[in-house]
Amino acid sequence: MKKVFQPTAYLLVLLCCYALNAADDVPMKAMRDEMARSKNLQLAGLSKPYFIAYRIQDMDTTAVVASLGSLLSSQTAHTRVLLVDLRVGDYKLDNTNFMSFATRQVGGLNHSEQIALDDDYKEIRRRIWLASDAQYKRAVELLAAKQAALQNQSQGDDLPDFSQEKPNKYFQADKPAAVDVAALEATARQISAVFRRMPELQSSQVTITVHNVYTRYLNTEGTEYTLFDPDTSVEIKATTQAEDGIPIDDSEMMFFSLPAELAAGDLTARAQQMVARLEKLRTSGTLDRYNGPVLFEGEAGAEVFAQSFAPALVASRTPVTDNPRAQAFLEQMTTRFGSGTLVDHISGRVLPDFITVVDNPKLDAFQSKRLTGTYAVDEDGVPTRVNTVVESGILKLVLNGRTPVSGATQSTGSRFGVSAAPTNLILTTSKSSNPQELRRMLLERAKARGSDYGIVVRRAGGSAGDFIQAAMAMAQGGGPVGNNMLEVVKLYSDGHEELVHGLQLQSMTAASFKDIVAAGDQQFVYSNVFIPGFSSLMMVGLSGDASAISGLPVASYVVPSLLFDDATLKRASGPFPKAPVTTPPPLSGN
Amino acid sequence: MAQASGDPLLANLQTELHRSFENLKNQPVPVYFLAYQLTDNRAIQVTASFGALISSNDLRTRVLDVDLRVGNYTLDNTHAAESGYTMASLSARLGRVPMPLDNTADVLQRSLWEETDRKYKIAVERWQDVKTATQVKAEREDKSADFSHEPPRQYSEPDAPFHFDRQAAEERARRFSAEFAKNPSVLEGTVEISGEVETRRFVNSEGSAIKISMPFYRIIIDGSARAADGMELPLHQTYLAFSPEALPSDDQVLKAIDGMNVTLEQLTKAPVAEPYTGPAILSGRASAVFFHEIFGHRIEGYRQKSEEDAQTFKKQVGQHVLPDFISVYSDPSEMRIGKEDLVGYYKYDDEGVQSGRVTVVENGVLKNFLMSRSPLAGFPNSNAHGRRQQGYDVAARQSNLIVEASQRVTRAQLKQKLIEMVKAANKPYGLYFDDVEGGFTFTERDTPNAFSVLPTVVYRIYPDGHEELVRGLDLIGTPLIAFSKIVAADDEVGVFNGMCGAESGWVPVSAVSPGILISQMEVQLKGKSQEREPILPAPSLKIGALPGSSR
Repeated sequence: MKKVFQPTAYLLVLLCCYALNAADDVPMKAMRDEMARSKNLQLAGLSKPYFIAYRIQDMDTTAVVASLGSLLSSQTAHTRVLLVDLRVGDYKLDNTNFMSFATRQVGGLNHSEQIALDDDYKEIRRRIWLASDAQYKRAVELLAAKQAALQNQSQGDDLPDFSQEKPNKYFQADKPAAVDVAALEATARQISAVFRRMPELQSSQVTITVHNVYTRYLNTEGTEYTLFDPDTSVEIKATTQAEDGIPIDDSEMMFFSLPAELAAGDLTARAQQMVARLEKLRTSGTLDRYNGPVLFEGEAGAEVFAQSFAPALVASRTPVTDNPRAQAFLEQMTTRFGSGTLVDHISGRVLPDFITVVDNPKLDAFQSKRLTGTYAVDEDGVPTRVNTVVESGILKLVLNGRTPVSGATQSTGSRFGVSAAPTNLILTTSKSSNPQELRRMLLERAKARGSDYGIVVRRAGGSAGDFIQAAMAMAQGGGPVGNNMLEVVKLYSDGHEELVHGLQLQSMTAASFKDIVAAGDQQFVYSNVFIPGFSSLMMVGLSGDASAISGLPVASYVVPSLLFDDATLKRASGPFPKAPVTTPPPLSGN
Repeated sequence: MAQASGDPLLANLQTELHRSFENLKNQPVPVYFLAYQLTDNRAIQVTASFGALISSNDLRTRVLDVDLRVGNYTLDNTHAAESGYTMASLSARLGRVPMPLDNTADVLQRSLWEETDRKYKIAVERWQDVKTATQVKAEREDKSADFSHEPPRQYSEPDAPFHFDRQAAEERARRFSAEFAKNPSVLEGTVEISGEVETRRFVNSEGSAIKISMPFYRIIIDGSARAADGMELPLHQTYLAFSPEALPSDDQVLKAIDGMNVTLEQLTKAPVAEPYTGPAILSGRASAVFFHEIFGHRIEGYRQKSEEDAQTFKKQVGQHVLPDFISVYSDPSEMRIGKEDLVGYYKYDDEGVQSGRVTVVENGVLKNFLMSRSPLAGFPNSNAHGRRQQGYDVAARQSNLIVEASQRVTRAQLKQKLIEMVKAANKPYGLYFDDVEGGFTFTERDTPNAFSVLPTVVYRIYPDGHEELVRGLDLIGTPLIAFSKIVAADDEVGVFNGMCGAESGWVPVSAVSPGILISQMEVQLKGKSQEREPILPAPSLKIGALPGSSR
């Protein structure tokens, strides 16, 4: 029997190999062939690499920007980038997780460079050869510097630098599609023309970005994958100034898979809603300060969850440095603002017991709304999985890549961009209330505090750009800046509402979420760019690798309305920009 | 105001300029001068490395520059900031209003208004500072006015034709760069082919309305090798022209790359030069860069005004600054010399002043400076050298700097003279600088006033006449000493077309010069990377063959 089956089995293996090799395109083959040589990189007296990963990404990006119906810019770029992650030492101690202030070098970030767009085997291999050589030399130098730095300091823990993961293979075909730039330009013009009707706007812009990425990955552990990740986003933003001088910035980002999914009509309607909202806000009142219960209603619940809670569910390791003062500063900053703040709370209560949070990369839609964080493998090629992050209020794990942190020493298949990131975070409740009940609870709590109104936040607003600005402001040494809350209403006990503008949410941190008192019975989908924690941002900043920022992942959040017992809102303080000195030329009616 | 004929966009600019000027003239801090320059640029650029395309881009941009002045011609908000490189101008550069690419009149006008408003607020703030500063600080030595009076100009030309076949250029870049693959010692071998057309529309409140449109084509070839000791050996070849026809043919480019291959191969084997002072010859191209750096930058007018600047020549007008047989003029209105295009050419500068020939040095005597509308004592007017890269403040910059020698010898005679000087000074050899990649200079008071020219191809000339290629040195010195050591010139005129970066951004410039002999020149060792040669040999399809290991 065995003898009969053996040839078949052999044939099967052969066929399988054949299929795999057929899937090798020119860049993949070049990586595979050069990797075989690079394993033997060695300088006299120093060790060979123990891990090498190559990644070649083809990126086709089209970005069109329009304002008031007129095009501001239209750019198309095709790039092919080679990334090399080369490690010397061993899994326990290698050249990564290290920042050298003395030499301005960072160990742990991938080296990246643009390579040939043509499938020119020889030229691609030549670039991989040179990049591997440079990375090897850099890695052995960094490892020596790191070992020297470690001799002068005692590390409290004994964490390995890199987790061991099982090899994994995953292949997805490239589906390059021509992008109709003229059609995108027309759509951007059409949406942006909506703002012509509001002369009080100081600026308005519509940006459509189509970003198609095809990735090939290979490492020395036997993991390989190819991934096609198309992504189309639309950002609509507008700025005006309220009559009291406070600036009002509104922005919205929408994510699609393919440009064909853009429905100009829907997007135009969103722009119209923005105009209507800004018109009301511009003439609304404001409020000096409010301490008390706040209801984040509808999408605002997801927004505040994404801004203030989600980043804390991600592991972030503070790197070793050769400068003890810088190290202390980094640790302080990471604790204060960064993510990973909840890692020490594993098995501890971080949310009320009626809330469970699951990170689910396997879902691609929720109630027919698209979710953006759908992946089979993460960027390290680790298979993604459904991670129950918080169960009945208790923190079970934090999301991590292959950089171990205390309490999270294995990858959860969550490395996206420069750090770990959530994919689709789904918040479910075992106890929920309908919108009327939530409002009633808000008013009761407000009344108990002696206030005749409660605060309802309907839209936090703000897009990735604002987050980056806020991160920069924090990094510059200021305290945490308040988050602007765009659409806020005072809800009075008789049921009437009063819109207010210019309020910032103060000191809302991950810890504040323990005090959620109720959640709604309907979940809302919200997607936005995930901004990694402070130390990851700092590593990128120091290395000057701006391309890392452009590759930030987009996460989706499925969250109901959330009622907080206690939050602080404060009026934004100036200086605000001066109003224009002269009158603008008229815009023709639309 | 004069009406711009024919061009709707120029008319649009005028309409809003007029409207905004009328409004701002009546403010508590009135505007006395307003100018818009709208620069449209379309650029296609393709790059290939060793036969494979690495990038291919097609980009359209439109940038508005607003020059807005409060105060008066004698004293205004730009006072003491003529260098265009202050923190105030930096902040003015950031946050500028993006211009629509579509020619929708009302949207464009609104964008013009928005940027004007922004610049007005900055100007008012600056004006307060200027008024305070003039009261609390010592008077400047140069009491010239802040802005010159110039006649308004009207000129409009149609959009320049632009012929650039992107796919063909990609093919050519691949084919050209593949030449480098023939030489195993070459580590980087890239060819960039680009074409752009730039249309500048300028209007001001004095009545000027100008539209000029110029195409610009270039081929940039970069090849570099690394010597066994880690020294990088780059070679560059740049061709710039106003028409594709003026660029070299494919055969000429391929021949040039073959030549670079040979030189690179030779350079990897060439001995490292030593620090040296002694007689040296600069080829026409090397001398052109030498004059651009050490002379050209010191005759840019605003530097004579800035109290931070060393003002090398300020008090030397009418005196000898160069040998009798040397004359220098600057002529932005000259489009080509012989068959070569001069890329520092323009009809009107970025302040709308009509260009023409400016005699800077006549028979060794300094006559004039390169002037923008920022006057100098004794030089109250512009001579059309106010230039900028779009997005920067205008400053006096070079255009086409042409060095002429009234006494000339042949190159062979020049080398003979060098050998005589080497022998007389009892030196082992003299130096011959054949090609350069560029250079830089410092003109401020708080830095030594040195210059450096970066040669790529240098030979030693020995007393017996034989020549030896060497590598690894830069040419250095201080300006006044260097000028006094120029002893002869030859009849081989070289043209250097390049981009010059300074306070007002990058602008295309040309320098033209014969070869010159300098009796005493100093060279220093080039900076050298510590990088070793690659550990593994270059990948090869044949296992066992080790190309590149011949060294």
